[in-house]
Amino acid sequence: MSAAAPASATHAEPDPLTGAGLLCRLLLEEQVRLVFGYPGGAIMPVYHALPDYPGLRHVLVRHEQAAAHAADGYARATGRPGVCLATSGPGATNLVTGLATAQMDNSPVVAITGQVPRAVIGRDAFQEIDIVGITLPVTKHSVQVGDVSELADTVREAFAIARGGRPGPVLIDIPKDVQNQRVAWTPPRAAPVPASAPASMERLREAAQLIAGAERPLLMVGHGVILAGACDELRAFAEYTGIPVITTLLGISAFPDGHPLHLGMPGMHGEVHVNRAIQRADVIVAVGLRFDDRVTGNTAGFAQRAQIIHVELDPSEIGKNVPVAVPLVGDARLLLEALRSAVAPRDCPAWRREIAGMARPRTECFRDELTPERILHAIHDASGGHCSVVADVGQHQMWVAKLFPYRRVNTHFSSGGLGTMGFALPAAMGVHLARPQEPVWAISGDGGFQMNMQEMATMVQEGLPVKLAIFNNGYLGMVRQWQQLFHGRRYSATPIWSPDYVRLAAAYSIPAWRVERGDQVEGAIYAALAAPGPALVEFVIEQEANVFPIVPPGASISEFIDSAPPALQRA
Amino acid sequence: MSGAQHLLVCFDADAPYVLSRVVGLLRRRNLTLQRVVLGPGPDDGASQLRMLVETDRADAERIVQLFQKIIGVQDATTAPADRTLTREVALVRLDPAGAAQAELLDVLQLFHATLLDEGPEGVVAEVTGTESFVRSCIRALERFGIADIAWGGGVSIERAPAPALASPHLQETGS
Repeated sequence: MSAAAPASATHAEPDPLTGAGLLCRLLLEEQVRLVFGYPGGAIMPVYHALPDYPGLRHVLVRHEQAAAHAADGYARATGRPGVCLATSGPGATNLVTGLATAQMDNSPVVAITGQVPRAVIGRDAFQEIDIVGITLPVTKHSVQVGDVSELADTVREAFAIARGGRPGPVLIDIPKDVQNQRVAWTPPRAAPVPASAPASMERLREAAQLIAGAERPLLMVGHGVILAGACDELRAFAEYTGIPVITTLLGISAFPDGHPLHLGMPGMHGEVHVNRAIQRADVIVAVGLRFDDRVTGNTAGFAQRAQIIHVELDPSEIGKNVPVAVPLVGDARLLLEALRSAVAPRDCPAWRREIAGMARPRTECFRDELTPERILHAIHDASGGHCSVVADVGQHQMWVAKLFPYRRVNTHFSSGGLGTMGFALPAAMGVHLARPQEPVWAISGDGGFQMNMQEMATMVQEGLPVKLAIFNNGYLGMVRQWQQLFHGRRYSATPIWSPDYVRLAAAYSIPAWRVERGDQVEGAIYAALAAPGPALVEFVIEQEANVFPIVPPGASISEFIDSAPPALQRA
Repeated sequence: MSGAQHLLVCFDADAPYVLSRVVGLLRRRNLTLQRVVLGPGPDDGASQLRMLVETDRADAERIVQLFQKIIGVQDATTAPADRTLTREVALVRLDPAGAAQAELLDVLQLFHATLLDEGPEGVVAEVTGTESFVRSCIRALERFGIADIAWGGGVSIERAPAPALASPHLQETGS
């Protein structure tokens, strides 16, 4: 369908449209086919119009937070804006965590909220809340529509802002009477496409010189590589130069795991040889990442021998957390291509051997064979690697990041920046709807699962065959681990009771399996995958397992702990 | 962070929430606005915000970059306060008794102040200058009986010639 054409000739409403009808038509014009939402008083005109637009599928969630996360998951999987819809007041405030999650991870989410009629705004009307004010710091942009004549431009601009440049969430707040105003359809104006300034040749030459002279070069890549669609260019550049590749948490799956040049994840839970490589590197080519503190540790002790070339779309990221020798501001795909043509082919086999020599054996302890490796490899193998994985937040998130064998681009999703527990389950619904042809696994801990487990009902009602895996250790495991290592083993408020997940799932008519021994892992996962709809597998894992190594908070990434010493436990 | 003051200038579309976003960005970084002036911008429907904040140069330059990311901000620049000229304005309303005194005109003349309004309810005088000049004038007027003071402004402009300070890349942080 052409973007300029009226979205549908079959819709029932003739011109002039209501504001609500216009909104639906604008969504179709923006290629939206899917809306996650929850109705309520101030958004009822939009819900009244929705059935006239069968091209828009509405997914009724059980909590507005899930609508925002699902739209986020859809956006991450497709690269196109995901849309969520909520009423005013509590409906709108429930979106806030989801919008903040999308903001921190640069996900293009468009949130549409109803608002009380203009005549009563500012009078503390029923379910009135200043959602534009509330979301100012957690969105890329938020705006209230003052009149229906502004609606078309506002919606078109919102989508352009959400997907343009460094993507992010945008909120559109529409008073109820504006939804009911009559208005004629106006076709979009041809908007000028902003030309991105090419990075200076001088900077490219400086970067190429640094790379050519480097003895211990590294590539560190983040989410920006996936957002820019630059994974092929990244791989070509890495193979052309022989430079080993480190992927941050959100950079995971930008480069294939198991590739001889892939080192793994850096930072707080990075493998020792990855962090040591950073500390010994003389040149780091950082692409599409922001040097988050979970990556750098104490910045004063981060990569002190390295000159950093920072390839980044957002100039305000340059030098924000670590000093940068050569900034290359622009599109990662174009810049990686330009860098490749600016450097001669090279290799650094001695450096790669040096890094390999620093690798240490894993020290995490599990009883039996019920290990994260076994579970994650079984999930991978059960679908021949053709699945997407959405991790929640906590210990299992680190295991999923480090142990799942990612081969395909953009198949790992997680709330990295905000670290939102409860993200996985609703986000997986969005990922499934973006990729209905292949399985998606939502992997949660017993804490995060209980934060949004009401969405099992959404999966059943909407027929979303998301596969749910719970790593149940009876604790808020990551916090418990910090209490064990840094708080004298005072397990304050971390033991967490769970319902019987198999019976809970049965109440939702979802088939479920409880796995208590290693030899049950594969059978349960294959059975869950074979089930036609959503399915749940609970893994009752070691209660006090730790994620190792861990860099102590505030320390340099040169330091690490890879066992829980008794002295620390008694402290 | 050093105690250096920096002028931040932000040109924006005269739209709701732009001011809120600009000020909110400073609030999030726990920066105190020492002077702020909102006035008309160079184009119709535009406004300019001139702010004096206590922060170092690298931070001021990053804030400018963050301003430029706000939807509705057209341009933003910064300059160290010691490279700027600043003028403040005070409007002082005096009691009728004080206004009747003959010496008042001498004091006003000394500070190049002008009488904006005269009447049986009192007079309003206007004085413009640096912060200390305005303060001295107000002190000199105190004995005539001050009823009210509107004191603000702090309109700052970078001295000529203007070197480009808000560079896209923060080279000085790169060493």
